[in-house]
Amino acid sequence: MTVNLTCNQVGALLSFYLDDRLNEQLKQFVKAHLDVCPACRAKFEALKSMVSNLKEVHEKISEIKQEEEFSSASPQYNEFKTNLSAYIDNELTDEENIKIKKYVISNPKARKELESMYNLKKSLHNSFEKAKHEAKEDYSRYILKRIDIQEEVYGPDSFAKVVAIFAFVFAIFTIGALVIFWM
Amino acid sequence: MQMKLVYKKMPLEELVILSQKSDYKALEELIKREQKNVFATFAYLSKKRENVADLTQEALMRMARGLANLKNPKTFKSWLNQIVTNLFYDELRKSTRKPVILSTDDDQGEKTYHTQIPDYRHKPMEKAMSVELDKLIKDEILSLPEHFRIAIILRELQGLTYEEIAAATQTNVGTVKSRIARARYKLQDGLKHYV
Repeated sequence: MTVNLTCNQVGALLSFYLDDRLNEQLKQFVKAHLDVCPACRAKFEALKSMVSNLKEVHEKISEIKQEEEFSSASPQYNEFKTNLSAYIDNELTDEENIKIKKYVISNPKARKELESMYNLKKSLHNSFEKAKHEAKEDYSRYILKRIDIQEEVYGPDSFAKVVAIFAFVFAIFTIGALVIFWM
Repeated sequence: MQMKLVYKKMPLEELVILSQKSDYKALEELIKREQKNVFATFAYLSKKRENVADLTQEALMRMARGLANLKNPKTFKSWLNQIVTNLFYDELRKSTRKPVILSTDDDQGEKTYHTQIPDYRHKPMEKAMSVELDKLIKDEILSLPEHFRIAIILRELQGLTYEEIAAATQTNVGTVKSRIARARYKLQDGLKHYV
């Protein structure tokens, strides 16, 4: 079934058509009319470009608004930026912590920055773990050896040992001498 | 063998205390447990790759020798990092005294990453396939100013608190906080295309 719509009817439906809010059948009828009627076609194109311009302007305005809200001029944003790093290190006071949490909840941009901070932390951690894993050399033997040598030469323990040996030798000599003397 | 297993399972504090009592097996395990960590730390601190092994050895030696003077075994980690930090600053002082050799065919050290990173930035496809993120991260860390570098490493890689970092680098907590924050923003900026 085809219904030929009049230009006035199409005009009334045009903005709904643009927003894609018509039912499938009606949409087809409008489309059919636009295909054959250059006047309505021109009207439609004009409407379309106007709406898209409006959208753009609207987006820009909200962008600017957001920027202003979270711009470096805003003291809250400044505070957030200064404390963000300490926040993820858990080095803030309770009061400062709550402030950051509140700010992040209400700010998509701040939330993104927090996420990216965590990502950085994770990457650093992974990179370091890998470096740790790649460290293959074993220093324990060398160090123990050097400490051992030093202790033997200069250490207080070795001095005690030397004294003990001297005392022992001296004692044996004394006993030996005593035995000889006694006999 | 059985004994070795016992040492392997021992908590760090116990190893420290036994080592202080001249238990060489405990000291051996302690060195084995810390050496990877110390090595990796110097790998991120020292711009000269060839120095990393020597620095690690020296730090572990100082640890082994000085352990007897450590009063509270609980502070072992920050004490060890103090040794690492001091060695790092010593090395810095040494290297600043040496004349800087400028040569066009000398690609060693500092210059390499400065020329490499912008290259990668313009090739996102290549980055996804072949660039090792670790190398980039390491290079970015190494290009940080020294005070920032040591602060972020003691925090991220050693897990010290701001107070411990302040003690190790002989500054106050406020300065540590700002150094770490600035280090992070710098790293974030340098790695924004990858992380």
